[in-house]
Amino acid sequence: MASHITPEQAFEDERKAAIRAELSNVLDPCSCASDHPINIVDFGLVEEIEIDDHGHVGVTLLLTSQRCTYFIDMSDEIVERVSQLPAVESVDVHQSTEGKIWTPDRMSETERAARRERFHERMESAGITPHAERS
Amino acid sequence: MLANGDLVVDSVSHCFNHTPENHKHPHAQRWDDETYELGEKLLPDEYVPSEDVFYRNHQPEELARLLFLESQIDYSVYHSLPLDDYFHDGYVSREKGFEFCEQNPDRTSMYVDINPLEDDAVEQVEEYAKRDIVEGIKLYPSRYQNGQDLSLQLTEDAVWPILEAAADSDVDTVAMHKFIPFATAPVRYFRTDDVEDAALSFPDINFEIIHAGFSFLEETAFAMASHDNIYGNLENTACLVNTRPRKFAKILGEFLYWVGSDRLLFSSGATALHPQPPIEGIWNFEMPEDLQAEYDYPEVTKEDKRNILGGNALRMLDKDPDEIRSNIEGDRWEQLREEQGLTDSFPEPWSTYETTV
Repeated sequence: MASHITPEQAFEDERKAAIRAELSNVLDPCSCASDHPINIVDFGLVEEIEIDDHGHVGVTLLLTSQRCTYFIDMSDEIVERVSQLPAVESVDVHQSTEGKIWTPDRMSETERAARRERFHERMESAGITPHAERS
Repeated sequence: MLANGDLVVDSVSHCFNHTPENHKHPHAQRWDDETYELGEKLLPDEYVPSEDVFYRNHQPEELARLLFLESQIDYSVYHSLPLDDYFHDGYVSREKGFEFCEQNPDRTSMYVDINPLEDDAVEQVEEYAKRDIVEGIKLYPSRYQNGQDLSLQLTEDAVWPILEAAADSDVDTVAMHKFIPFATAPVRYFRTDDVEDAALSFPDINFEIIHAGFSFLEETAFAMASHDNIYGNLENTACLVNTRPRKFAKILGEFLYWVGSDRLLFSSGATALHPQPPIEGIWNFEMPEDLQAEYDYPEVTKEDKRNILGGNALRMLDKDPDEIRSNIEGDRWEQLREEQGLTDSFPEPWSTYETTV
């Protein structure tokens, strides 16, 4: 089972599902810059969602780089979107800095397949035949 | 040496200087600590050096013992580093490199660091290239100067003359640090785009991209598949075979699928890392069946492993393996190994270092 929040994950607490739905509207800025927008849930950037009895929400992100300069932009958008939910009193966004590493495995299967397809298309359009097929 | 007698060639070794006296910039301590932490993450626990061993000014004799007594490595390419914006001696000094090579002439070559921003950088390339032991030039993609991170991509006006000088000289290779960002330099400096441009313009130079696969994997596979003169140097990446085996499998799988094994170079990264675990890890590595099924990654053959662990480097350096084998037969290191009963084993990791503990 994945250790991060995935698009398919079932929650006992419906509030968490609602928060994830809002997070699924937040796009990763770098993916936008490369013309293939991916939301932060599909990207596997959401490490944890917490919410206590008073509606205080904590969202923890594991970024692809510890020094990602877009953290503040993502954090601002998360606070703005999640704060609008009725059960939410406050929102804090944290960055996971415990040494865990983001890997492409964390992306949703759909996005991983799409990304791989784009890579193969790029190779093909450059006229590159895989070595494994040549040999 | 491998069991079948093939030479193990280490395409990057260093004599780091991790002492506080060497620090020139406030970030220097971070470099030291992060380099140590990298070892903690990349090595099996029993191979992580003590702080007493690590935080020192490593000497050529210590590096030689580490490589030639504590591991299967027969031949090593020393890379000096041009990080004199952070460290007084550049972090890995040229002087220690020349000493290392002079002390071990049959087992070593050297890539000399060049700072393209120095007024006489081109002349330095011309001068160092005349030395037999110097086989390549080592560059970094960024430099910290006057409070700013300057780009030193291969395509910069300041760097291109270095490539022209290398092309006109006896050195055949330019090695470039990539993929592992450092300090405050933008991540884009660590991509491969500039290497592709340079490889196209200088077809007679081999471009080694250091830490290949650590990041920008697909871009690197594309660059290597597009240009026969781009090599993937697996310094640090090779260690993932033990501590991040799935990540290593995907890196190797992509390279084998698109490029094949004949331009991948094993590197130890010593003295920052212990050289032996990745050699054993690569030799014993098998591509997981699920990755073969899902991504069409090929099986890793013995020939692939021999290529990576030495065959490719020897070919690139234009070294005759029989000549090296003959030259090192019965040399100081073979004698020491025999005297210490190490013909089929190795000393405890880092035990050839003198420590105060």
